[in-house]
Amino acid sequence: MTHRRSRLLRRGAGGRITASVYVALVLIFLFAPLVVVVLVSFSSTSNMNLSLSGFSIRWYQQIATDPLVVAAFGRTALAAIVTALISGVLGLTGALGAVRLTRRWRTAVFTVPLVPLAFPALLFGIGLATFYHAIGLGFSIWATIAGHVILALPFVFLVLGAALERFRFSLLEAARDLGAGSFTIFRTVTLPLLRPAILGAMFLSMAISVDEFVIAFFTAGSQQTLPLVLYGRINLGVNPGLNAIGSILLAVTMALAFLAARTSVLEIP
Amino acid sequence: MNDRPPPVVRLDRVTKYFGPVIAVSDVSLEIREGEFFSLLGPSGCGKSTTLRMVAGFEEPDRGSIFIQGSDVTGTPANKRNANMVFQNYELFPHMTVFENVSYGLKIKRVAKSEARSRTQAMLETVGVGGLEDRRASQLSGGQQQRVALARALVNEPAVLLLDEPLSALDAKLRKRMQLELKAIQSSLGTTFIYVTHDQEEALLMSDRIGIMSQGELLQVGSAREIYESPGNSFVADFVGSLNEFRMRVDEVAGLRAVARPGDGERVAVGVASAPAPGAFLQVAIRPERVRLARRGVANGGVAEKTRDEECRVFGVVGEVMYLGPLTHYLVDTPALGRIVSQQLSERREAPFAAGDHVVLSWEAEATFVLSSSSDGAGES
Repeated sequence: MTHRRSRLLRRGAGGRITASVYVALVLIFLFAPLVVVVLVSFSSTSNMNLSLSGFSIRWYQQIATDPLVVAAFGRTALAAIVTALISGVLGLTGALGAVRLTRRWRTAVFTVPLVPLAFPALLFGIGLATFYHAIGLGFSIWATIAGHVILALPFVFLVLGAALERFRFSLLEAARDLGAGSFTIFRTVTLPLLRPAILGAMFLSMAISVDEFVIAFFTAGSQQTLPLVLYGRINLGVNPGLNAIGSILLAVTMALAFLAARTSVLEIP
Repeated sequence: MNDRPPPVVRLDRVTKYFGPVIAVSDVSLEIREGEFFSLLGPSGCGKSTTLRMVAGFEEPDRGSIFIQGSDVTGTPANKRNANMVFQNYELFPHMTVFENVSYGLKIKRVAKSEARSRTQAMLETVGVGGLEDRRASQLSGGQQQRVALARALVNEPAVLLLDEPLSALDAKLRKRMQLELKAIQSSLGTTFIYVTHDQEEALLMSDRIGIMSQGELLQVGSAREIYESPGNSFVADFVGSLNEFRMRVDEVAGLRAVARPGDGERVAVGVASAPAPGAFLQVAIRPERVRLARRGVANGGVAEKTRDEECRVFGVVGEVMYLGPLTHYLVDTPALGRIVSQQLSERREAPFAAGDHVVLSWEAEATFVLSSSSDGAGES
């Protein structure tokens, strides 16, 4: 395997140029739409084309004074933070419990939360809405948060499960040997050592919550999040203000994803 | 011997199963105050499990464990007056050396200033003073070893448990740490229970050694007792190396059985109880107890001048193996098969070469009988 890969990597200048062009094309294909969204958001006119007659931040000023957008931004932030906290706590306790199981049960416990991921988002959203309605829980940002927790939990579980694979549980034995009780061990050894993974998982949850649309659409009711406001505005007509909202969502999501990758990839020593 | 102090650790008929497998079988043992005690045995013999039961990480299925006279069976590890040095040290990677070593004192709510001075003093004792602010990952293997030792010893436990603590170090450092560990132990006077599979290490450091095999404690004794008077063939073979041979008893004189396998040859072995003439014995002798002399040809092949008149076995040197301080002579004897004689190496050249005719001899008391049978059918 390694051998074959090293042979593939060892090739002439022609091959290297072809590879570079290929990668460049993929990157352009992936990111060009995003770049366009961001560029247009700084337009000085209400033109949606790429003529870029001038640079301005007027569209950002406009949405910053739009009470509907500001309220939605607040709700999105609230949803992201609460989702991260709840899924973080649930995921940590669940993963810590699951690693004590035998291999067969552990596999089962780590697989079941993945099921909603394989489900079409639309059906999942409708299902949630029906369920909330049936149990008499009204539509609100809190209903959305509950949905986001379900969505984020498998990712938290996977990140923490991977971290616990590498965790040296014998360190807990050492702490117990030195006189520490279960809670002290958790506070002084388990938590500090898992902190990078926990933070990474929480950033990931926030990123998932921030740009989630379908669940919010079916469960938020009148308490719209930013993606919902964006969608509503598109139906009313397009202007660069929408791009400004989109750009903000994009920036926040990318920052969170970056933080998630950075913190959880950090080697646990 | 004046009257012995009560044992620091006592195991009373301790048995432990892992599923259907018996890990520790009916082990009773007393560890004395201030003693360096080693549990020695091959991997999987139950020595680590025994240690972990004393620490409180495993609970015995039967039997009881006492520390300083009180029954600690069922008491969790954090409530036992014993501390452990782990095989892989298990230093906390997110803490400095100082935080690692003072961890136990902090848990016990020892006053900050006292904790600080005790931690400093212990780091000095084990030879890593000045490394307080380092992280575990910034330490060499030997330094980690010392910090792990300090982290356990600073709590002043009644007994320190060490689980193969030197096995991760290279040979040279290992030798040095063995001596230092022994020195630290005698200067602090702490009772040590030391688990190892390295017989040399156990012989070098221990006041007493317990040999384990397949969950059973086979023999307990000083290094010399274990080595010179092993209780059975497993102990004899595990501690040091052995020549084994089989002989037919021709005559018995007191606690000495003699065979006369060939013309002029005489094999004498010490026995615990006199066997009947005609019995077969399975006998062992350590290579360093086998003496070598050149066989003179002047008197028609009869050994004229061995240093020991009691024992004479003729042979031809098959191979000479130079091992630095020692040389092994592999001697082929018609009577007993191949016998290894271990000698101190000569500086210039070996006194015997392959093909030399030699006479082997030994003191009858240096041998041990592994098994005996009357008809020669059954043996070891």
